Amino acid sequence: MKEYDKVELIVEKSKYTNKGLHKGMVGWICDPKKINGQRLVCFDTLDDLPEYPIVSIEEDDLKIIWVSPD
Amino acid sequence: MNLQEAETYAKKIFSTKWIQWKHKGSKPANDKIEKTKNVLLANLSKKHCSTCLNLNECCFTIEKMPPIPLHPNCHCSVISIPPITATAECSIRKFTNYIFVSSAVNNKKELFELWGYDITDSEYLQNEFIKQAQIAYSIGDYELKSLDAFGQRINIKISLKKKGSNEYATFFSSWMIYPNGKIMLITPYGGKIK
Repeated sequence: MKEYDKVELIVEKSKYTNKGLHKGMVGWICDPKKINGQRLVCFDTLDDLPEYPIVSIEEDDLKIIWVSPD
Repeated sequence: MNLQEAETYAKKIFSTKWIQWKHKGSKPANDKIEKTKNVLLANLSKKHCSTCLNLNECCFTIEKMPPIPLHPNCHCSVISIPPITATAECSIRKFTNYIFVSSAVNNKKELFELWGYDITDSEYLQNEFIKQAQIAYSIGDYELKSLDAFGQRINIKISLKKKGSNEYATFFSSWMIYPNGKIMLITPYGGKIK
């Protein structure tokens, strides 16, 4: 898993639902760092929101759906 | 920037009050490796908070800074500083590997193409984002967003002239604050301004 990969949230957890994020939502990894097993994800398919949520998500809670070329 | 805009900009630079975040006894994290080291240090020592460590020497306007103290027993402080010299960094890959990837991956390519831009404009867009973000940050024209161990995020408004038209597309971009007046682009398109 790396920056620019497209990912899907594969779990329903209160720490994400509190931020309006639910299982099945899709975003992209927008920062190269991995901190405490987490990735910074921009959920850029939520076009109805005034701005896209950018949230740190545990890598284990994500599934890669498109691998960015190096 | 015309003369009137330059005058307004100069006035704002000198009227904006800045503070610098201080975390005693730790080095500022100037890049992603140092930020990650700070998190490891915080996890090992149990005495420091990784969020505080990664805020060390970051600059904010007085009106738009994280709350202090950030948590019980927080030993961070802030000091007043003169106007900052802002530097913005923006990887060209934010355009080549994100904005202009296939429409099957996301809809940003379609959006930027609607405004007349394609992948060959990536370098122009990189420079334009850097220019606009540096000006905006140096006069405190930003919106404070989430803060965690990754660092403090801010939103900055970007206006792009639509090619072949006198209209502008205006939207948010998201940046991460680094020490000593540096910001780094996280996402070029963070949502439209309604």
